Amino acid sequence: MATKTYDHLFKLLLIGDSAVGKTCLLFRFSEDAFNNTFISTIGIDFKIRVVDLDGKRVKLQIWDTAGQERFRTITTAYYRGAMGILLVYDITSERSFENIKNWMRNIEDHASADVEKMIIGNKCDKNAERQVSKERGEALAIEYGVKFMETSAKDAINVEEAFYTLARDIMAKAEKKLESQHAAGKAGHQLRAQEPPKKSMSWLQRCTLL
Amino acid sequence: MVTKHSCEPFRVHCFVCSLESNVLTSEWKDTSMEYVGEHLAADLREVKTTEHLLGLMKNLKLSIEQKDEEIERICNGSYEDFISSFQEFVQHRRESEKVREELETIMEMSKSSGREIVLLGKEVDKAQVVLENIEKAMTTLSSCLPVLEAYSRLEKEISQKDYFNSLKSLEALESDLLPKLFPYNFASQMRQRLPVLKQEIKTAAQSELKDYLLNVRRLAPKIGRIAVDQAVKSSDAVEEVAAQNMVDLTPVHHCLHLYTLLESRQEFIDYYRIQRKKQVQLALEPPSSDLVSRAFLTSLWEEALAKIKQTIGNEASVSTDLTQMIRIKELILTFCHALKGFDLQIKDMMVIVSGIQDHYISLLMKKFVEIFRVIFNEDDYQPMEVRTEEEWRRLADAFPVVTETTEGQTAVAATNKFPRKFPFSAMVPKVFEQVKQFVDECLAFSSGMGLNIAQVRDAIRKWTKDLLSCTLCGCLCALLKKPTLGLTHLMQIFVNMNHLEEAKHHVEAYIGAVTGWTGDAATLDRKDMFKEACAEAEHQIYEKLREKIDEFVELNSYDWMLDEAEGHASSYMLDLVAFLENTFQAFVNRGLPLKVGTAACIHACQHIGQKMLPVLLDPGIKQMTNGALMQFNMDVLQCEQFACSAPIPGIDETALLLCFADVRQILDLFTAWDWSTYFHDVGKEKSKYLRVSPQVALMLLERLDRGSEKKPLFTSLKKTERDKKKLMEAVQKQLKYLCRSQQQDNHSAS
Repeated sequence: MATKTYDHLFKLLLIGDSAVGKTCLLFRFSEDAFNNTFISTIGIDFKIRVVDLDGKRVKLQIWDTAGQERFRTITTAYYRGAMGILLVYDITSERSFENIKNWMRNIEDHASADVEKMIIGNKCDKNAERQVSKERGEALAIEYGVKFMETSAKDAINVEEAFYTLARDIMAKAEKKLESQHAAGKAGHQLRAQEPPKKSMSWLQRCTLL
Repeated sequence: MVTKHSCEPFRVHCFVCSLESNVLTSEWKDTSMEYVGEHLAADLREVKTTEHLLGLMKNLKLSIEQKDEEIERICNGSYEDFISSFQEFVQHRRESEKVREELETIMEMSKSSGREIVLLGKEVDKAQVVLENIEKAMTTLSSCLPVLEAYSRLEKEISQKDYFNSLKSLEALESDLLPKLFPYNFASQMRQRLPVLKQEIKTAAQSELKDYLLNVRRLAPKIGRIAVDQAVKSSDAVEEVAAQNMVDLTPVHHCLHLYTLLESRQEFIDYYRIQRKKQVQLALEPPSSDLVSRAFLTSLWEEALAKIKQTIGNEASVSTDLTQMIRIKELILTFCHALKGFDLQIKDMMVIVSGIQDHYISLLMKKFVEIFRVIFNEDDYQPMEVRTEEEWRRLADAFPVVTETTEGQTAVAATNKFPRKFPFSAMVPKVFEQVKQFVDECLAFSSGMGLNIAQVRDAIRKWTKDLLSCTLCGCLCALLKKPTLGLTHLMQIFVNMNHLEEAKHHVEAYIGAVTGWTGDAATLDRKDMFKEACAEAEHQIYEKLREKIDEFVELNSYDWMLDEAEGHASSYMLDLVAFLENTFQAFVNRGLPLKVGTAACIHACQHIGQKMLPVLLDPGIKQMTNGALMQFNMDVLQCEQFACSAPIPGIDETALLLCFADVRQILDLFTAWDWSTYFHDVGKEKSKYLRVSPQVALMLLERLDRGSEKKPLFTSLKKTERDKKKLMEAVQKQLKYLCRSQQQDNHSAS
């Protein structure tokens, strides 16, 4: 840890109903592997992957949360620090799609206002069992003003793209923020530089009034 | 006669001598003949013939002898006389010389005295001229005298500052006396000096006016105050009198009069106006109405306004003194009020006031950051205790929340039992007190701005909300990030924040009370005021818990070759569980929100579960006994026991137990030696050992295998032992197969 091996550290968060495939998406992205058996996540866990984004080394710390309601109390604590959130539903589960609204509300309550969001319809390899059309997913994303993608952790469809897209959006936002901060810092500095002459001017004015 | 006679012999002698010489030189000349007596001459003419020469010679000789005799006789006879005459002559000569000398001396004397006389004569001439001049000068000077007198009088008058008379004298000099006088140097100089003197008088008059102006300036604030007071009373009539009584206006009239005399009345008026213009900020009412017109006043005000705006703006923007700012505001408001009375525009002044207000509030916020910081630094983060009735009453006054006794335990303690404890630490009433102070300081600024009660209340509510949800919350966040804070500190801060949140409606009530608001009391904010700080506190609590758990788990010292498990959990685990029990007991006792306690508890359990697994799976462990595994199991059981003990009321036990699921399933599999079920259920979602990967199972199995091999006691080839060995080999074989097929799956998937 002596030298920083990356330019940015982004904290991402995966949320969504239980068994929609959050852990599998992360497993695919971090290990490029897939485990068919479903093992529910306990509480919260994270994986790290360093990616190259437009020439910058970006370390992604991706938090995988338990979808189970019983762990909700602890998972919400991680919303605050997240810079990007992937809301995942299962295209074969109408209920998981309906619940996206609730997850959105959760974000509003606990996450910072400028967090980047993205809706993911997972398990698109199971087209035969599809309950939620791609169009509905798209429409919902538009409603919330966020990006949308259908993925398959099993067939490795759009997984990389989803994480990269979110990371890129965060980077763009961060750089914009940095720029404006820089500008503001400059302005602040100028203001300070102006203050002393301002002071002396007032003294002079007092002089002339005397 | 004497002289004539005595000369005769001398003449003869001369003749003889000359004759002798003529003869001797034979240079005869006819003219020389004439000198020879008549006889001789006749003889000579007869002798001219050579035949007679000798006879002549003889005759001559005879005659000479005769003559010589005659001469001798004459000489003898006249000798005496000649001598005496000669003597007389010498005598006379001497005397005449003497006389001559005398004469010369006298002449010299007369010459020198003559010269003297000439000199004296000249002097007399000069003196006469001087005398004439003196007389002339005297007449001239006497004619100059009145001018000089007038001039000296003029100077005296000037020096005595009697400017009227001096002007009169000056006038007299200029028009009467000086023109009559011959233009002497001094007169012309005087004439040149007159305008200078005039200017001097003017300047002197001006300086008098300046003194007046100075005086006016000194008095201006007083007059202003009176004007303002009277503007407040709206009694204009009295004001004029009062203001004029305060200032002696004679110098102005005096000066005006002088300038009129000097025919520079306009110049004076201009000067006066310029001077007053410069004083306009100090004096509002000009002393003489004929000097100031309405338009002039308005333009003056407009000019002054720009400067006032700039000056006050600059001054206020660098000010850090709150009392001074309130004073500035009050002065501006009073000033505005007075200006209104003069029908002058004050809209811009109100803009200044609102600018000052913004600056004031931001300064106030900064001040409270420091106040809160000090309070936080001073706090002991211990539940507050009240020892006496008096202390209790003081606290109840300062922090009315305590009288509400919403919590059961405080309600019971509300009887007169002392000491009494409160869940919050001393910082809470202090902060509450300061928030009230903030409200007061806001009010101090808002009052007198011409706002109605509702507006004042709204403004103060907004600022107070900002103070609580930005300033205080920010201070709390900063406090929470301090690495020195312990878990108990963090819990105390959390409790404190809850109590401050509860005090919200008291702040609201206080705002209502001080502003005189009688309408509905609204709450400052429906949402959590300290949302950020609460989230930060939670985060820090989880972090601290994790750190503590790490410390405990690192203390583990498993002997993986242990023959048989001890009858109890390892000491580190007992310590850890005791710590957790105490901590969550404190969570409950201190009244932290159950939600926070629950989340903290699940966090703690999950973290222990995550930390225990790598202890067991540590790749450094090459062999392991069943006894060691049982000891490890004992420790995990201890954790599970804690999870089931409802450390937080109403907590989901299952969720807590699930935190140990990974390690539990491994331990279950190995303690039950339930391999048939494992292999049967593999890949199935309902599998009892879902979380045990074949890799992990194989690794542990191999360790146990190696561990048991080291025990020579058990190497007897009993039948049961052989069966066990066989089973072990079969399981290992099966596990290896599973690992291989999973790897292949992954390869084909990617």
